[in-house]
Amino acid sequence: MGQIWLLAKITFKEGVRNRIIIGILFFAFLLSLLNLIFAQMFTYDLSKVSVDLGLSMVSIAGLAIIFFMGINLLSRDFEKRTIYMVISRPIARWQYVLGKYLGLILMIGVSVAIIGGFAAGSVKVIMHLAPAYVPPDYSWGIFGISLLFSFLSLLTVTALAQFFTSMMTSSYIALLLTACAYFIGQNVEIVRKMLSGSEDFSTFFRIFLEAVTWIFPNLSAFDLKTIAGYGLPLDTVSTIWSALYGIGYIGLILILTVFVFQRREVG
Amino acid sequence: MIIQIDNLTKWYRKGRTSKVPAVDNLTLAIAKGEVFGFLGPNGAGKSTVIKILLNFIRPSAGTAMIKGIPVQDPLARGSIGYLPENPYFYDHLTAEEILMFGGRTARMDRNLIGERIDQLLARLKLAHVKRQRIRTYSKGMVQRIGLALALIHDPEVCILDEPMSGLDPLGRRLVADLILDMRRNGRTVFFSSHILSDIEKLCDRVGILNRGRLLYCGNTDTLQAGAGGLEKMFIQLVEQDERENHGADLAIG
Amino acid sequence: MKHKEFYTLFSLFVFFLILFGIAKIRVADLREELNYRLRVSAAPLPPSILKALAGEFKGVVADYLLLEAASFLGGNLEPDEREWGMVAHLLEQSSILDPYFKQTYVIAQGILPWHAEKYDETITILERSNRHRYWDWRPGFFIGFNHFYFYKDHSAASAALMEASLVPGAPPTLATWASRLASKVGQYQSAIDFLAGMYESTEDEHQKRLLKKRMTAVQDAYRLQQAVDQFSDQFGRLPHSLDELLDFGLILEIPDNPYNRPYTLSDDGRVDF
Repeated sequence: MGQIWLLAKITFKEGVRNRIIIGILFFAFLLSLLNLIFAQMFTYDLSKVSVDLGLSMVSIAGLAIIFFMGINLLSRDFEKRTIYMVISRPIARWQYVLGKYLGLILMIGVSVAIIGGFAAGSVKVIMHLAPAYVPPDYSWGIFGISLLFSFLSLLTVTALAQFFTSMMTSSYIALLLTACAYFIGQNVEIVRKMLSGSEDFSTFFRIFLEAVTWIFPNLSAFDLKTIAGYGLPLDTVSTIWSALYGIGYIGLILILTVFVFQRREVG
Repeated sequence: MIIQIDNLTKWYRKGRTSKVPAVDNLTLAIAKGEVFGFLGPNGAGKSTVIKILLNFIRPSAGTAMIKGIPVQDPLARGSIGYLPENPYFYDHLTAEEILMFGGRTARMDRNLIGERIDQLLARLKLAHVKRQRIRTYSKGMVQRIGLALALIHDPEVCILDEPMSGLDPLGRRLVADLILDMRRNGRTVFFSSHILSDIEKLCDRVGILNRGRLLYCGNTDTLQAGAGGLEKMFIQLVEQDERENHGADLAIG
Repeated sequence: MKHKEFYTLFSLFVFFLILFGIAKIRVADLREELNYRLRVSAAPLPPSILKALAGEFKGVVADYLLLEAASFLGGNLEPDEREWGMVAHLLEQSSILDPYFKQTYVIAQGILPWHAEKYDETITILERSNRHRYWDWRPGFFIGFNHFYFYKDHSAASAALMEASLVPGAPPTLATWASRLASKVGQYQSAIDFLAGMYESTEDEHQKRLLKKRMTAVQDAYRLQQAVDQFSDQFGRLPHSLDELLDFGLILEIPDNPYNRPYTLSDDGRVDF
């Protein structure tokens, strides 16, 4: 654990000192100000709109951090050979993978916490301005859980990003693959639902789609924004299973990354 | 033997079917306390050997051990200090943070690292930039930080890949002094270079590598006794090898 | 890799694989019943703002909204009133974002009036498509059909069909139907033809059944009406009831109305169904 933590710490520091992350956080701050104006443009359900926007902002900023910084931090290790300063130490390959991952998710976690704070602030203001539209069962607890699940979704994408960077020599391709995996993960459930209602698709296509649902993460399972927005009752059992699903998926991807990276030659 | 390399071979894929050996059946042993110079033209396979010693790449055949531990075991790297050719670091960290990382991963005591950092940075004339981010450093300063990182845990074996490249004469002098210091302290130094005068001055033994094969391995004193010194011998050996074994004419080694 | 490490890694892998497998199946099951998704995208966005937000991606957003609606319908057999409202809203948004898209009006026509009784909403979407797709006669045809079938407003239907028949490439029968719908004579025949035409171009089995039912009803009513006309020719007055036609042997039986209520005779001598 010691070695992993040491690597996580320098990865985190390297990440948060980058100007890009400051830019992204600043952008998120501006968006939460915009949220105040934007929500006023709606005629009804104001607070729901502001919760929606606030939580979406967290996801978007988190994705921006992964795509603009995370992948860069990972691939630069190979492209610039900064990895030598790490793996020339008594650090095993699996420790490298986990340490790097831990550092990245620390960085993302801190960002999510900060932006989530902005979002909560703007929602609070809207609710104060338009108390009539606050859903009767609105709960900040569910808002928090929804934030956690956004974070879980980002953790999944990060694990995939790391998997692809440790497999590909080009960071550009890794970025593309991660983006594809993200879009597939967001939409695979809808597509499958749509097809389950109609009969005119070939068996092959059905099997293919079923396989896709097993390979890619169902990221829409981590999307609780609507529940948070309307203050709907949160089903504990399905929430726990969704969390376990995410954890299981991340665990698998990390182990696969370790397997791939063990074999990789860092020439 | 502190470094033991036996029948080491590394093939690189060249195109779809053909393969070329970067290291060809290399056997080499380096004793504790020795300063060993690793010599060879560009592309001779020096870096490949070093990367195998650090387990960055895996040998196609043969074994390599450090202090009797196979290099595949991360423990083997506990007693190695490594300086890559053209080192790069995380830009936004300070010298202190990087050296702290190096010391802590070698399981040194935190206070001890602090002392060691100050001592090394003073020695390498970097004390004034201790808390500055690496991105503000010049190339020579980065090279010296790389050396500091290699030496932070006072390793038993020091593996330096082209330690003099990118340094001005003053910097080279610093590095040379450090290597001599290590020899005095009974440390083992294994370094590659093509600057022959440095090798002549610093090394107890040299190995000359061409196309992955060891052409010569022996003491520097015996070399210097012969006419022309190391430079002449190096060129002769490489040219001879090219002519006889590879059918090529090399104007200059 | 040392053996010990490999086995640790491998057993962790198996552990996570099992965890993932079970959770995946459980999550898939649990989410079958959940349909929050629909509320997300049917957010109460004023269309103009939606359009501004979509920027250069209006087409994609329209496709996405449509996909949402379609996927919801694919998974939900019995949506409630509120959910139908959401579907109508999604289709309306999609149609505003991309009024040229054929899929939108086809889905709207295929679903909203038949299942959700949202006739006005359907006609609004169709009219938008009709304005933009000036080369396409079908939206106009559907508008006419909705007036005819759901509102039983023959003159509005006739006007819509007439307009649709002017589009280059429209089937010539549209004009015929339009003119005959407008006149009282021949209404039944044109209704039957119209329904048959719609029946041919429909793929949905449910709608085909409904159309067939209506065709049967209209055909039966047509036969009864002919008998009524014959009666009034013969006796110089309208029959008091349909049973009178039976008594005078003008018809052999009163057919069963497929809508489960009897055919009746209005005061002005029209057969209602």
